[in-house]
Amino acid sequence: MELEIILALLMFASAIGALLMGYSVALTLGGVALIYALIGIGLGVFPEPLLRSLPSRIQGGSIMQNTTLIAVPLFVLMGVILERSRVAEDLLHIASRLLGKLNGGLGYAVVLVGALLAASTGIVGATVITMSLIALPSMLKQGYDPRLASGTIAASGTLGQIIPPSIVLILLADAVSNAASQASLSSGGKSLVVSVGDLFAGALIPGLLLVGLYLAWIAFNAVMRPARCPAVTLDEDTAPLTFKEVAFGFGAPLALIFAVLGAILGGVAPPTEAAAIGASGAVLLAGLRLAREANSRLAPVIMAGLASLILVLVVRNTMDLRLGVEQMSTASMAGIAVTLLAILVFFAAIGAGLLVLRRMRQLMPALKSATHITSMVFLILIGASLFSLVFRGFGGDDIVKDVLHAMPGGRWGALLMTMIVMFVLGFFLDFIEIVFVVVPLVAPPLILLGFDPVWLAILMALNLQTSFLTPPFGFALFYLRGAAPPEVTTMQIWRGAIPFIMLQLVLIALVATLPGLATWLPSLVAK
Amino acid sequence: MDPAFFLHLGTILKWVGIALLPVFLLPLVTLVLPNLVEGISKRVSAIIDAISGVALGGAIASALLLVMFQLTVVVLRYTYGISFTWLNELVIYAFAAMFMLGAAATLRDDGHVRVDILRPRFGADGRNWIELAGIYFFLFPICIRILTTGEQGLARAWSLFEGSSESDGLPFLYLFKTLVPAFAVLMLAQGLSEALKAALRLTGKLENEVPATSETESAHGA
Repeated sequence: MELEIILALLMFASAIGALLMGYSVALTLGGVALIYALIGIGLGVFPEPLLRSLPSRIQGGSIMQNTTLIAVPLFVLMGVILERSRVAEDLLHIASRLLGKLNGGLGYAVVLVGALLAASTGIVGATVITMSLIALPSMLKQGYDPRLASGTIAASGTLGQIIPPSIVLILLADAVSNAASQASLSSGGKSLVVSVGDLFAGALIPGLLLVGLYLAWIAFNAVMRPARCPAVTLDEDTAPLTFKEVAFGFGAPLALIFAVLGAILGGVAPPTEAAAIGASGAVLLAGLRLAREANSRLAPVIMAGLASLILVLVVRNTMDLRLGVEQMSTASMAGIAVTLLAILVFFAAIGAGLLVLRRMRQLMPALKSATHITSMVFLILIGASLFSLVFRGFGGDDIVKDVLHAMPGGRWGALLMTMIVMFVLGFFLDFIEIVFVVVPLVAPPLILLGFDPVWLAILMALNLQTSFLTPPFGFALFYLRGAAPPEVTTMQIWRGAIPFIMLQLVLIALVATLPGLATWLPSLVAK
Repeated sequence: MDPAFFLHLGTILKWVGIALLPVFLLPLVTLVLPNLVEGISKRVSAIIDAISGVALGGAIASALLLVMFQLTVVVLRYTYGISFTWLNELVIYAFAAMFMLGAAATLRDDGHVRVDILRPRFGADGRNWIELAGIYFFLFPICIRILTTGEQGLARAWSLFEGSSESDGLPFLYLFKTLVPAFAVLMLAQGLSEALKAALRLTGKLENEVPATSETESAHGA
């Protein structure tokens, strides 16, 4: 074997070994790569100019000027603010009250709220922990089988990966899009553009099917073995839910999520812009939610902000407000004046929302946590791009390509192999690292073999999501273990996850055999 | 302002950095002579943590600005059909500043993801040794490499006061590019602080923390 190939393989093995030591993943990936690059330069098998390009890579279009990834911090902010303002908690309480009278009702509530929370935060750990702290104790108190209860919570927590606007889908879109253009470059074929909107659209049907499958499993239990998931017995003196509570606690977050998703899927706004709307909407919702507790007089300002937003939408869609048109009618001028005023009110409302958050001491923790998460993601991107750079410098991408092309079973063998490797990597690496390190290596050859990039990305996302649910290493199970009361045994958590893993495999098989499930909606949106 | 002034300033800063290199031996000295340098090690670490905190403040302000700038872009484009290159560039600047300035404080607060499978089994001492090794073999070399290879490009950007390539863009591209060495310096300093803390813990001068804070948990799986 040639020296550089040996070095590439050694580098990969060393990286895995070093990662297990438990130092920061981002710095371990970058550090191992740097050491091997220096060895390679010393032995004369690594092109040094490649390493010199590191600073320009960091400040270039793949990291610091990556316009696709601007959506990431904005969605993180949206999720963190909703979490901090306890909008998420309200959602779960109201859903359990609404559905609790049914057998399995709490289970349905957890799945539905998991899907909604996922759509708003996309952060697995946070969702699993929130739900285990709030829903698990009440499920156990009502006599739920601990296995069913914990399995439902863990599985619903992982929905955040697949249901848009999930953060990992944005990262995946960036990686797959690069892979697709690389593949078309080397094949000379037509260039395939994969946008974040495509992946969001592609993930929607599989994500909703998954929610349906989870609900069906709980319904099956409710019918066949009602003792495992009994209806809730309410205390006599519990006040019934008021319409206002439902409208605010359930309707408002739902409206926000639909607005953001609708804007992206309907082609009104690119994901980055929709994310900014989502983040500011979250500030308004959180402000309204907390203004009641804070006894703040700012609530009317926030309401005025929401009203002026609607006013802008109405005026914008009924008359021509474009500036720069030569002859403007008086009506247009009036429209511009009115909308300008409304926009100022809207910004004032955001300011009011931030003030309320600050008064409740939630603003700084939320901003700090969002900054931490964003820094974490992008440091991994920096470390992983150094790793990929060096791996490519040794010709590692050719090795991967050759191995995949030589797989028995042709392109399906290559796909299966990739999926198995990613599944195993999912036991100890996070979605983000896998997207940044593995996808750039395996996706170009797979796309060259003729697989659709969007479909491929959705399969990868579903595959990793399953991996996070699989004992003994699944991340979701770890978080659940950490937040669950001690009377729930680890074995119960593991056994509870198994039916949901089966459901995941059913869905993966469905999407694999019926690619239309992932590709039909994006093709509609493209038109 | 004369670019030559800033280039001189850059050279001076570089030599200050080189002169400060012996400080990076302090964690190792702490391991050997803990009683002698305990005070100064704690002091240095506290100062660096505070500096990272200031940078975090900048990152948080950037996060707020990011939302506001991006929202302004949306509103202007959607309502009036206008867009400005400089406004889009402000969005990018705020976006990049958020994580380039926030990374060091995230290191301080243990917010960067680790692989947790074997970590609990290494014991407190094992984890501290791994921390030291990671900092000296991975963190420091990466940051020094970024600083040394970026030097020429940065000097060129400052000597031209390089601006946007678009005519209606911002004239501050050289400041944007300075975020890269700023990131490297902040990370180097925070790495030093973390190494000092690990060395102090190994010699019993500092309490061992309980691993896996809630911060890393909520960060996971984002």
